[in-house]
Amino acid sequence: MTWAMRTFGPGEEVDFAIVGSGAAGGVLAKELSTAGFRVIVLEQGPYLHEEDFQHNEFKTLFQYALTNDPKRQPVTFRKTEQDKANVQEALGYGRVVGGGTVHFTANYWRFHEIDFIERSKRGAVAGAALADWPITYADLEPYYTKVEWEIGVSGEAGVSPFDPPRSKPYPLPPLPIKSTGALLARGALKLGWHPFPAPVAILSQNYRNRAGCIHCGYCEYYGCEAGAKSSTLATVIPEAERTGRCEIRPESYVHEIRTDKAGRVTGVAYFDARKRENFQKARAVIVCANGAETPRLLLMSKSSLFPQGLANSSGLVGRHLMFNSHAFAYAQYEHPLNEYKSQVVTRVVHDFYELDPHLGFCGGGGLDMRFEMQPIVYSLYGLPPDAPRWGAAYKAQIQQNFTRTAMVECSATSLPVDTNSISLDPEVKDEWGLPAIRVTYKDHPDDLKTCQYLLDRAMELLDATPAVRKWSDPVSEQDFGVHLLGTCRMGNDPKTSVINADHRTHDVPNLFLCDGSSLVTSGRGQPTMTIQALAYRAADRIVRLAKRGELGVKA
Amino acid sequence: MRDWISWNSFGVARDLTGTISKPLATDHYSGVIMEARDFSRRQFLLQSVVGAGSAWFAAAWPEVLAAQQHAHHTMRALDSGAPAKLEFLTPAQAADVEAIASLIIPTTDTPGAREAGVVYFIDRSLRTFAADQQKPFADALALVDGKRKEMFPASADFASLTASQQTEILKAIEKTPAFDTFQFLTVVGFLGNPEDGANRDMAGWKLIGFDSAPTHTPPFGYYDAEYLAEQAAAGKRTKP
Repeated sequence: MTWAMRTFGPGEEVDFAIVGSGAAGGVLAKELSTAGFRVIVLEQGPYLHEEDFQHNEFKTLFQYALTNDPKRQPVTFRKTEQDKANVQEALGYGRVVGGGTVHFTANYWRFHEIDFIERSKRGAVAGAALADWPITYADLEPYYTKVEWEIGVSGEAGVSPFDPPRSKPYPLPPLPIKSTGALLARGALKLGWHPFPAPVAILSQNYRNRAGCIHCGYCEYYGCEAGAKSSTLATVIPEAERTGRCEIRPESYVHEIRTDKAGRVTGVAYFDARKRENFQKARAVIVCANGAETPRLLLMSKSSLFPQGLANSSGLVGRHLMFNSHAFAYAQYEHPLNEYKSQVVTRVVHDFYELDPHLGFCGGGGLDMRFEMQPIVYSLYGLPPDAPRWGAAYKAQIQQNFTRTAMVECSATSLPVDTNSISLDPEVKDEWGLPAIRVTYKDHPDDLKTCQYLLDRAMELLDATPAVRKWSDPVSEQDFGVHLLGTCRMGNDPKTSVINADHRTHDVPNLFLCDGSSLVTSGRGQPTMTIQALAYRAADRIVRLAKRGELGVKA
Repeated sequence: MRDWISWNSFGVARDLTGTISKPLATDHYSGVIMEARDFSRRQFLLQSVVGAGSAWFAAAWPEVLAAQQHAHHTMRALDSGAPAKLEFLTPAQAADVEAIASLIIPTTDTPGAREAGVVYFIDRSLRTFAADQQKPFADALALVDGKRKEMFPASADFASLTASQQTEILKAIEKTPAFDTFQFLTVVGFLGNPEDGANRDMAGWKLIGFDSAPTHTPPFGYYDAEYLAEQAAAGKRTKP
């Protein structure tokens, strides 16, 4: 870093306090500081850099280096509101500057038109609170394009006949095909499907003073040592800092948003790295803490004026949690794939994005092929269910099949269900004494049917590749999520939504929310691109409101 | 048995055909057939830690690193002819642990857990990051020893039993958490980062064909190479 980072002193008021530095928080920090506002970003996790990201499977996967640590921040889980919630690992999310974009796989699918209008197109679905968005794909299209060109997304436009319209091609060509991509392409074409190069937020070539991918293979679950993964850490956060108007304050755990007697936000209370309590004054607050931490923070910010929690007059804060649903099939091949090299996904199929309503269930999804295992995890968990776990035969299995194994990942819809939620656990506390997140989640029956349909296609695909051997995980109800969506949904009606189309809460004029919680529907399993497009759009809306003098901030 | 040192000298999976010349009959397992495990790899990855493994990683990484470095230095000492140094396990316990690890990943015509120095990694871990597991680990060893006395009352200790006797004992406990612990630690010690002390001489990585080069270049595997060759022959751009 060659620039002097702006820091704000104790008691100094900023224009915007942003809670969280992930996909949305990073973008908003850059856009608002560039527009001339004073911005502070409060991030729970540490500020790590490329040199901190090591090729070490053991350390990264077992030590929670980049994600929430369930020992420090326990989470409880129950399937329904009638059940007692028990402590278990029910959520995974990035807890580091850059949030989940540091360790993610970087699949950057745009949502399709249907995702914004599925309620009016499909009608009501029993047991689901399916709703249209207050914006359409056309409203968001310029911002999808902006994401691709601002952070660097690699892909090839015009190959998939199912792609929604776009105003510009990708700025970078696809990354080199891997064996899973070649197998998927071969099998899918044989079945009459339409495989296309995976759009990923990883640089295939040098771009804007950043180096292209070096194919080291430590990608999903790892931070990128080369800066080729287009995390907010590698892209917009340094740009925000370079404006001289933005401070990134790591290890700052916001636990309350405070308001004045008029019901306007005055700032945020947070614990610093030594667990000392601090208060940051701000003229407006934007919460980008993810679909679990954002509703939790609002629910923790109760006051006499907001007895149900902040911005919760609708009672919907925390409701309609969506994980996206998933199914997995696996295969072993005759020849080595060496899938542990390079980034994860190179070809995708979207033929089942919008399933025929006559199937009798609502939803859809995409298929990709990948491996995503390294030596320890593969040797513990990557063999077929009937494989030996020890002895010469076990050893022969890992020797033969570590380089020859692949999987199909089916990523699909989660319908919004009113009782699937984030709430405060009444008993369990975290290391800071704050109420633990309580997750209530049971997949909608249609989501399980969608998964089974996709899993059947995945097995057909593996036969067509062809695999030497294949197997699958049975479709089952999820009790763990990493896509945390829908919990403060966007809408025009304050009775049925938490924020409006400008990401402004219906109840508090200088409080905004932007992250996975804003989503009205889940898309088909790769939400980050949409979260980031929403963040660029929200930044435009917020700057416009500020310029109209509505927020009491001045650029 | 072939000398495994000479096996070490082959290049790690840099060639597209891989390093494995003997294909397996993929639906035939001659060893112990396990019942279907009720957790998936995916669940493991997403939840980071499952079952037996979790307790082992409650502590800070520097201690894990120290354990691996201890194993590394101990193996170095062994190379130079110096006696191995144990920090926690008694020599008798270490012999049993090594025997168990060697049943899980045996020395065949390629190196196994013994050659990878797995026992030294386990030894140090019990003094450092997994110190809170001393009791459960001792219980696990006691379970094995109890089975030994029950099944082979005339024997002195596990390590001195024949391989088939040891295998019988391990089969008798393979559905217990004790076995999960042994299996987990053996795999980690066999396939962890060699510069940290596990996976001596990259024995584990060489076995499975994992190339630890810091960067790679395409084509990466057999099928993408084949695909690119077909595309080139057809004079096409790289498209599906």
